[in-house]
Parts: sequence; C-alpha cells; structure tokens
Amino acid sequence: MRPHEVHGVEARERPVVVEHGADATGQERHAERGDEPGKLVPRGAIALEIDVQRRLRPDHEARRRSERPRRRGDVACQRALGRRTRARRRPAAPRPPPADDANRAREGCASFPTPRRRRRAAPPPRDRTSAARARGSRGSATAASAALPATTSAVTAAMPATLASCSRAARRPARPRTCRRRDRAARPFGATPRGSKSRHTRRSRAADERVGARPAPRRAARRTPPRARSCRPHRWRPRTRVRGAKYRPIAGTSHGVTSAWPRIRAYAIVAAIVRFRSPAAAMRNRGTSATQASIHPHGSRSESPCRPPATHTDEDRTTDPIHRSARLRPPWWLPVLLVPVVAVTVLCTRDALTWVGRPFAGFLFSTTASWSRSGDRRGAIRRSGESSGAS
Amino acid sequence: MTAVDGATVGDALAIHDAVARAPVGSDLTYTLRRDADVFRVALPVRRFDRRDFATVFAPMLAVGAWTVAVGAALVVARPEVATLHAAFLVCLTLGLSLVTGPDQYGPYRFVSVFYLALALFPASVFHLSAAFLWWPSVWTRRLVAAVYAPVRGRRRRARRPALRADGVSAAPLPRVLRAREHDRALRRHR
Repeated sequence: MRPHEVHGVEARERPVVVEHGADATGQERHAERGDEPGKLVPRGAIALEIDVQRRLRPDHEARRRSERPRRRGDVACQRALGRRTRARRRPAAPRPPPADDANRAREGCASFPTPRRRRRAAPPPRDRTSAARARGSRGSATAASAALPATTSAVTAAMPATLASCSRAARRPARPRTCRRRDRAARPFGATPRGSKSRHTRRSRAADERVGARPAPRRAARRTPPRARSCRPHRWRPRTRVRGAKYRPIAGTSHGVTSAWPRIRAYAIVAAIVRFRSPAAAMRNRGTSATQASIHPHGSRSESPCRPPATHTDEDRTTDPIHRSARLRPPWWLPVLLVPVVAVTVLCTRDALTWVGRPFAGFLFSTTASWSRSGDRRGAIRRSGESSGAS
Repeated sequence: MTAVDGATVGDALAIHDAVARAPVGSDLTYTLRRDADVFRVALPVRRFDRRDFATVFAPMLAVGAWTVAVGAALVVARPEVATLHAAFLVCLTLGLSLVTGPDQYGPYRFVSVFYLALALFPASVFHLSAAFLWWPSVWTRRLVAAVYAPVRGRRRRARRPALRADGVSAAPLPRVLRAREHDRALRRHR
C-alpha cells in the first residue's frame, strides 16, 4: 500500500474542516470528543482513521469483498474527497434518528434514504455499548474507535461524519447473494443497459472465483406470475437514477444511444487484442474516473468505496491472476486444428515449388478456374469445322 | 478439354502428363468442348519459372498461412474470448482454402479439403457474427438456434462458466443460442 493512499482514499495533507452537525450521529460523536466546529484536520489523519477502523473490524476482509464501490459523483464521496464546495452543502439539521434508521444513522448515513427492505431492522439500541453489541461482528466506526489506543483516538476524534458515511460497509450490510444472482441471470448475454443499477451492485463471476467465494444458490421459483411478455429490451431497462444517490451513472456507451448494447465496444476489443488485455480492462483505463468506477468489477481492485482515479499500471496488469492464467492456457483444440493445417500447408508449398522449372501448358486449369498469361490470348482459336489446314 | 494433340485425355493428370512429355517451345493443340461446340486452341509449351510462381502460387500460400497464423495468435493471446474463437474459425477456413489453392492446379491432393474449407467459410462468418454480443429479436434467436441445432449436442450448463463481467466467455457456442434461458431471465427480471 502506498503511503499516500489508504484503501483507495487519497490521503493528501490538505486540511479539511471538521463538519459539525452533518447529521445526528456526527453531532453526537464530535460532541463527545470535544472538537470545536471549524477545526482543521490533516486529511492523512482521516485516512488513517479509516485504515484503523478497517483493520480493527474482525470480518473486514469478508465485508470488503461485498462492498459496493462508491462513485465519485456521489455527494458524500465528493465531500470526502474535497471536491464539492462547502457552499453547495445543505445546512446541517440535527434531528433524532428515526427508529428504523437507527443503525445507519449511527454511522453517519442519515442523509441517505433507507432502502425499503431494511426498514424492518432491529430497534435502535439505547446506548453506545448496546449499539456496538447489536452490530456484532459487523463492526463499526464507533466500536472500532473504542478499541483504539490513545494516540489513535485523537486521530479518530478528528474524523468528520461525512467521511465516516463514505464507508459503505459501515452503513449497510452485505448484499444478499440472491440479489446478485438475480442480476446476473437477468442479463444472459452479459449486456447491461445504459444506466443499469445492477451493473454497479453485482459482483462479477471472476471476482467470486478470485476470492474463493461459495457459488450462490439457485433462486427459488417465482410465485407470482410474470407480467406481459415483451421482446424489446428497453422495456425493462432500469431507471437511470439510482435510489439514494445524486448521480447519473456514466456508462461506456454514449448517452444519446438508446440501444441496449453492452459497454464492451468494438474499440475495446481491438485494444484488448493489441494490448493483450481483456475488453473490460481496456475500458477500465478509459474515460473519466466515474466511467472507470462504474465499470469496475467489485472486489477485484477496489478496496474502498471512495475510489480514487484509476492508476492502473503495467504491474497491475501482469499480476491479474485471471487474465494471466488465461493467457497461459490456449484451448486444447487449437493444436489439434493447427497440426493438420500446418501439414497441409507444407505439402501444398512443396507441390507448388515442384512447378518451378517444369514445362506447363501456358495456362493453369482446375475444376473451377484457370490462370494464364495475357499473351496466350492470341492463340488461334478455331472452330473445328472452319479450316482444316491450320492445325 | 477432351484431347491434347489428338490424344484423348480423361482427367487433369493425363493433361499434365501429356504436357510434361512435350519439349518446351513446341505447340500443343488442345481440344475444348462447350455444349455442342468443339474448339481447338494451339498453345506453346512453356516453362513454369519463378515469376509465374511468385505471381500465382506465392500470394495464395503466403496469405493463407498468414491468415491462419493471425487467427491462432489471437486465440493464444486471448483464449477466453469467445469472439476470437469464432474469428479463428473464419481465419482457418479462409486460410485453408487459400493454402490449398495451388493444389487445385495440380497435383490435386487436397481438393476435398479445399472445397470443405470453402463451404465452411460462410458458416464461420455466421458463427463470428453470432459470437458477438448482440440483442436480437426472439425470432432471430430462434433462427440462429435452428441453424445450430445439428451441432449443439449435449448441454453442459453446470460446467460451463457464466459470462463474466468483462463480456468474455469460454463457451464454445455463442450464448445467443440460449433463447429460452434468455426469455426466462427476462421474466425473472420483471
């Protein structure tokens, strides 16, 4: 890990302002730690805070795999990276966390709407200790901070609430596998329509194999009857505005195109051939950072929901276990086909070379066509009954 | 061509033998027949020199071998890309028909290979187009599935890896054939 980068969060030494009252949780945390509003904190300290929290989490590795990378267009992510001006922020309105949003609000995510399926979460714990107990093995920023030594506690206290909310793993549990399975099965051709959310939320099969994850169980048959059938793919194209996010997903295709072609396009295939890389890898280093983040397979290279601009190098490319192993294994039928083809080529070349120096009729004849020189056209062509003395 | 210098010939090898026996520079009269008309043409016997070889045979051999080599190199470079497998088939059929081209003017050893490669070339182009990621209509998919019906064979869905996120697959047949699966997936998504 490079010193200036901690789990993908760029830890520049540019000071950021401790944000008070971004939400209810942030206010609570900073009030306990005694930070005054407007305090300047080095950004590296914040990155260290994130790093410490991640390391203290007992299952942070498993959770990191299922994390969904955060797009740079996201508001909280931009705030964390210091790219959104302060004037555009909404005024912080401290409010008590609702009962169903207790877990997420404690992590500083009250600004995000609650997904429908999580509204039936556990009731909010009464105090911080019970909150940490309720979260259990998931771990959290608060529980991790309690276990920090005194030196890192000061750093921990400086972490603004918005950056804590940047950690996707801290505010939402891992997505059930069945959902990813459903998303994958919905695109049997691997094509993802423009603006698809499932493209961002699912994890690739390659990533599954890389982390050694257990394959997802087959989903049970749907009980409700399907709707009326439509053969047009754009009928079921997902919405372009993802719930809870203030960005428009940037796809590999141009925004004016309404077709459902995948983002792997022809030039990417050509680039993959030329550069010995996969089309997805070729697309990954192209375009804006938002494009790269949107097509980034989960768990392959991203370690943080706040992903910096892609800095893939040749070293990354060569150490990719999937593509490296695939390059070393040509298909078995390739030599089976090539050996007889090479034999035929050698024999045909040898036969063609035996023509050199041999008398021939002046034209080549076969069953379909014949080759001859242009000088042969002046050969006398006579009908058999016209003149008998010429031949 | 029915006769050379009045001697009846039955096949192409007999013509080559008759020409090979004649001295270089002498005229040979070839009797040709088209429908009811019979023609006779007198041509001098020449020597097949290197210029003839470079003009006629060398391009066919070189382009054919190079085409097969490029297709194989693509598969070796990216063996997991199904599209390149289909591209290799196109290169193989085209290159094989070109490589066996000189043999069609003698000594006719690989005539069957030549015509087989020539016949497989349109099918390989079709396979290449089907291997690309596309989104055809239902009837187009059924038509493609009908074309591939004789060669589909046994399904091995359990062992076949799913299409990965980067759009590559090691599946030997294009995924466009799974029309029924596709319809089911669409229904599930709705």
